[in-house]
Amino acid sequence: MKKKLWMFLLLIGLVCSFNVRDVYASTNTFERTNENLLVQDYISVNDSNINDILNTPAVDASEKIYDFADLFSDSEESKLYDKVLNYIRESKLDMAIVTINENNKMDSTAYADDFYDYNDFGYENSNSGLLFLIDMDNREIYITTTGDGIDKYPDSVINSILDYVYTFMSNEKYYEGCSSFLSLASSYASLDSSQYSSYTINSNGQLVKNYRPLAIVLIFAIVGDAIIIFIMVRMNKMVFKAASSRQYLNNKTKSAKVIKETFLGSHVSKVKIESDSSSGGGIHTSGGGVSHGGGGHKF
Amino acid sequence: MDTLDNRCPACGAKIDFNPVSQKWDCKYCGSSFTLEEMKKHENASSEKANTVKKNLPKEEDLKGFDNYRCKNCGAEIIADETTTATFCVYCGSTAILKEKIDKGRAPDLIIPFKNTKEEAVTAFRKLTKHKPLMPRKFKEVTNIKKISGVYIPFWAYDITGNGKITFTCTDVTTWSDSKYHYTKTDRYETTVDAHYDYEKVLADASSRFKDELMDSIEPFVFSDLVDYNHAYLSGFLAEKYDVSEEDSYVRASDRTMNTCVDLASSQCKHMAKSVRQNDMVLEKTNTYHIMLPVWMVNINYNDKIYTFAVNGQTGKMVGDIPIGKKETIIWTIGIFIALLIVGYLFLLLK
Repeated sequence: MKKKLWMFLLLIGLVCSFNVRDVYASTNTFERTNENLLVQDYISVNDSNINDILNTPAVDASEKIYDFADLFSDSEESKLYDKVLNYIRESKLDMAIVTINENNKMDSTAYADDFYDYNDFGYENSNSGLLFLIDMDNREIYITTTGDGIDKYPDSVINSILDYVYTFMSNEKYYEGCSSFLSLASSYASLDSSQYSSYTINSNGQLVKNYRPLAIVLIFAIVGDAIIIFIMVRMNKMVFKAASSRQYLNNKTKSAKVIKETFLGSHVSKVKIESDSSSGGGIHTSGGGVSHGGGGHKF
Repeated sequence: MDTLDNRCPACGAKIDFNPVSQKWDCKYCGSSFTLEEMKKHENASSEKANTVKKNLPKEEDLKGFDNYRCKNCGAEIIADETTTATFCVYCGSTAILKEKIDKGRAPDLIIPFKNTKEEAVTAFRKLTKHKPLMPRKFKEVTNIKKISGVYIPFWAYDITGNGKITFTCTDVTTWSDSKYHYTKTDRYETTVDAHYDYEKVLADASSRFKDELMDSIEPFVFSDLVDYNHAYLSGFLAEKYDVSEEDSYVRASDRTMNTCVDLASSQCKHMAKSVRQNDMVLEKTNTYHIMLPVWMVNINYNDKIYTFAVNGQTGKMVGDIPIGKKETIIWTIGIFIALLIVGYLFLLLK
């Protein structure tokens, strides 16, 4: 596979030098047959998934950008491809970007998982990697993670990325969306997973150190300190003006009853509940028997 | 002017009231006497309080500092305007300034001291424990030996509250469906007709002691109230009232009205209520002049006097403890750092 990769790099070099830009114009697929399913050895083929395999396009795993929905221009595809190769080299995870107009599977999750499992994706000899799917049929973006990618991108990270990226898709800025997905994915990949909670995505799509939790801790310490000191000060004060005569009340002779009650009116106010449509799925096993993480967001 | 002391009917030595035995114990011959026995030997006032008022001293005699003669040694006893029981500075005998007590309204009832000086000192020491902000130097000066038992005059009022109070009440309920959070506010106007009797609502009658301090040593248990007798003052200091019954009533009626409103509002079964109109009328049905036992401690710290009081019946100790600047700064910084560490660890665990 590494060989293929280098060959492709060489090819890009050639293409660039000749200034020919139509190499990525169409996505090549191969035909799967019952005899030749074109899947990896570790995929266990059985009656329940054989149809899914046959319905999954077989592609050249080194192409990385599979723009079936034709959302990118040739130059955009080329730029994305460069970014993907950079990502693979830096984060040691494979990456594929898929766009589809029609989803012949149950949902975006199934399509993304199957596309990854039934093609030869995975960094070097592992199956570790990510797949970013733009499903125009369900109007949903979906990230599926496999192998080391599952640990590298926990649900919280997937959701943060999806929450930022989906707005591009809503505005039909597919290239910008994919581009910021790639840069966020590589930003997160450069961090240690223990640092994730102290980083946040800013409005420019950059991963920046998040001082909010630290600020909350600081406020907690100041407020808590003030409350405790106030209680301690109060402990030293024991002299108060008497405000009640309760202890002198003769309980035997007391009487009190409500003699009149008038209903003055009623008022109902309502506040709309903000809903979040991002859905980090947790770890699940695909039809091919492979564990995936990830999540999706409607746009 | 005449003073009154108490002498042991058996040996003639001075005799003091003992809070433990609730009797008069003679330290010299070991005899012990009840109030009845003391009365028999004319060492206690046998006349009913507020009935005999003969030979009342003239008003001007009681102005400012007065001189009395000690019955024991004949030395001059100096007491200010409001002191009614004190000690002879020469021989230590009790000097009860009977004429002063009888001037105006004599006390009706008294709760004799129930706890001893030692118990009061212990109570005071306990007060200064677990007070992290107390200046360390203050602790040194609180190592006191001197604590005075004082009978402090109080007015006690029987008060009846009668009438209607109208409240504006609100109930708030919240619920949600899939799209909205709802908040419903219901408003009512509720009128409560109530009658409350209060017995012996206290208000201290001596301007020498802060009202708040005297409020704070409450409650006293009234089952220990006995008819007043001069003999109880022996061995203690006593004050004469200098706040009139009418002036003290303002404070007693304020707290009583608060309680009436609180009690009436508890009749409204709603979440929030506020008084819209209060037609409750308070009526004072009876007034008592009561002497109540209090141990007083004055601490001089940084040129300021801190007064502490122990309830001479229940042992309840009150007083404001000064707050040390240094201690406050150290604790503020310490707690801040501790909370920061706790918060940061919490952040890491998350």
